[in-house]
Amino acid sequence: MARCIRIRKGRNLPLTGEAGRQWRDCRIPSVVRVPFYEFTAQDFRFLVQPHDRVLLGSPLLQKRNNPALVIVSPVSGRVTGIVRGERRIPEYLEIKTDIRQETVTPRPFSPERLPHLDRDEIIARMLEGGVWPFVCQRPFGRMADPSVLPQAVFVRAMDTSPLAPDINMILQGQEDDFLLGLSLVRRLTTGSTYLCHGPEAASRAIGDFPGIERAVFRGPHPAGNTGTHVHHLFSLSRGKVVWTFDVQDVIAVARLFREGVFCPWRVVALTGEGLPPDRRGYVRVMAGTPLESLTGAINPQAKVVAGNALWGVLREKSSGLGFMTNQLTILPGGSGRKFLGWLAPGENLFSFRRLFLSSFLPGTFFKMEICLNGSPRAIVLNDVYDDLVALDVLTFFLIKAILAGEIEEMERLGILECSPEDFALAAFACPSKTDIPALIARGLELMEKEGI
Amino acid sequence: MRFLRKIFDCAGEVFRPGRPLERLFPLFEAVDTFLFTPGETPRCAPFVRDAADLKRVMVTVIAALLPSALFGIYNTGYQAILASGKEPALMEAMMLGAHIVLPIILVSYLAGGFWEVLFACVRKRTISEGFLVTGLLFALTLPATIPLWQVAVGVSFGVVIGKEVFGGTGMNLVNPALAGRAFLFFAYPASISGDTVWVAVDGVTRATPLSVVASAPAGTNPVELLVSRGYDWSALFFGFCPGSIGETSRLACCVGLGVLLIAGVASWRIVVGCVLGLLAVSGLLLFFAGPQASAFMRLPPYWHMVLGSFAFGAVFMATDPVSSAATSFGRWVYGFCIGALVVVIRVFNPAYPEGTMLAILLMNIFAPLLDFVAVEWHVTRRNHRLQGAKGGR
Repeated sequence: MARCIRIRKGRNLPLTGEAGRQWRDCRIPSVVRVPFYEFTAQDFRFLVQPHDRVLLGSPLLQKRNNPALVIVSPVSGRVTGIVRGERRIPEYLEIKTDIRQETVTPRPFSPERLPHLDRDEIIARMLEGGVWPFVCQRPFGRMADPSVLPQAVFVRAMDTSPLAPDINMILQGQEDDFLLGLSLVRRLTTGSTYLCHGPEAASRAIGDFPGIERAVFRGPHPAGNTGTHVHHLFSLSRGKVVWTFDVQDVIAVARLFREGVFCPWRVVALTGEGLPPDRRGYVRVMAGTPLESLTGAINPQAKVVAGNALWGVLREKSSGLGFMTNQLTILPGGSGRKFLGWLAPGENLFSFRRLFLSSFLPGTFFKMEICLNGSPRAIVLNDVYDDLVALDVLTFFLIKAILAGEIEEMERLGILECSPEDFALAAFACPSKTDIPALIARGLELMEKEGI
Repeated sequence: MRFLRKIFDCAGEVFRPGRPLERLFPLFEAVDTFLFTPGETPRCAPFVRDAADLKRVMVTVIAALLPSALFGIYNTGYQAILASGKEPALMEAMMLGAHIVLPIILVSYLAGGFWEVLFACVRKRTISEGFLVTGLLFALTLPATIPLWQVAVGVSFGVVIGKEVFGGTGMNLVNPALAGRAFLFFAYPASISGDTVWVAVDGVTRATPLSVVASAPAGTNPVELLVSRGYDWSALFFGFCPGSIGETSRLACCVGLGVLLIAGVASWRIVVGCVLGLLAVSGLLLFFAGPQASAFMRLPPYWHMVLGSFAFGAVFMATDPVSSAATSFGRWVYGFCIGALVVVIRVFNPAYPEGTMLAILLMNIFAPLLDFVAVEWHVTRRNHRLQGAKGGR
């Protein structure tokens, strides 16, 4: 039986620009740009040089302190360049794709063998197969360390963030892979494995399975955040570690074991008001695909976010799709500076507080631009945050402790349960435009460096 | 507007680092973002932000203060004309009131604004909009006869010692407007207390309802006394009585409270706490009051609510989010103690019955302690939960 957990804190953002339910086509691009922003690229060593030939599934990078951990090529072709950014940190690797895609020799497990693999075998295959970077470890939300034993594994089969992809669309046609993946990641822990989903999950892949504890999270965003799930099902504190997966990560693990070769394909939702409605939708696409080939020509003022409007990374249109991206949000921008904006009645401006006419008008959805909507100031309204953070944390006091660098106080206030993502909604609402996720990240970094 | 924008874009160059007017950049930024929304784009998540910024919040607080300010202007004129023996007409009273009150507001803004800009420029940080509220609040807590130089001195003390020495807006311990008023109260008591300062006509003495009750001999029925002086409950509620400029109309305070609560800017816990504290303590005192008790002790709780600056203080001063407690528990206690202290000061300190200012300042000082208790409580609860869930549930 599933546990039902109702989240009362939080709010949904009424953004326009839904993906709809249509599937779009995407062909293998002639050039892919494999980006590294999802990993700390400094921790990796390149295994390929420009002009080398790579196959789908052949290793591109290797972790410096654990050579078994590799990131593999999503495509077969020839490396044409390694592009580095500030301080020579590698940004992406450009590969010119072959017309006929070739893979490394597949090493699948037979269906009879799959249920009997033990933890070490699974981890070893995940490491060399290139799916290990998908495993996220908490506290600190880093790439998992294969040498630790997590107390629990969390699989997140829901997303409540603005314009988030529908879980049923993602699972469509991949139900068996998901179930296989679930049975594999379950064996990574000796503790419980939690499958967390929302009330809207209708796929046959979501159900009661042996060894899996199912939990239904109802309520507004951030009910779908991993941080919320971990907080409500498991108490993360010093000395405890959990590993977390997204649906598509689990599917990627399953396909590696079933087909014997890395699967670079992901379902990505193309959303956002900056994209014309006929180009929004879902697309099955390969990691590294240049974003411009997915979005087409868009307004030069519009910005592409890998992720959603609340939590993601701003990406250039020419850059490639990341390995773990489920959603692209194209946000309109650049309507410029408005004269006496603080005096505007604001019939089309969205705010959680009733400070604009829009709060008193019917009309439920808003077109939001990529904009700070104000300038950074000292925190004045300090009661904004707690209703929007679905953790048992006093946000304002946690921020104070972080700013003061008080490691012990930070831990007492529960920073180990936090990840910057959980505070995105609080940062959205803050009238002083405080960058709370960045502060939380700073606190976690301090904690990791000195506290534990 | 494009033309104006272009002028500002050109002028802005002179204020960039390394240019001659670099030092005055905060002033430029303030004017620039006052005229045009900043239009900055965030470089990291979240990429969309709530449309409300601090400017909008502060403008809303000022809008909430407007009824009090307007009625204050009217009542100042009304009381002055009444004292000179004429029947006050609306427009006449407004004009006279504006003539008296607007200079006070203006001086408060100018003198306080000067310090705000000076500190921002020296510290190289932006000018906070919070001052727009402080400047008006401070002016509204003063009697209409206050000399303008004292306004300037008081607001300077409030802004510099009450706020800037702690690091500016958001870091202050006490409400800057009240700090300024407290300074005036102790430095120049003759201009801010007594019976001669409330009506802006020379030589006219008129006691505020508060001092009417305070000076009554023990055993007097306070309600009869007030009504006999022309202060029935509704007159006090609507605000036709002498007092500080903004405090007299409790109706205007209620309207302001409505605006603040609907907008979600003020904490309802504090306001409810204030009212509960006042009702509880005054009710308790009334319950124990014998026939020979002091007049204040025998005053019914609902009369306490329309006396003095309780309403104004509870709505606009106590709810200042920076100097009040920041936890829910802290806010309840903070509000309750303010309401209770107001009554305690009224009843047991007949020399100076107006206790709202001191009650709020005192609780401002105690707010961090209340928060400390609430945070410790929270941490204890957390630790219990974590221990109860060894190895996960």
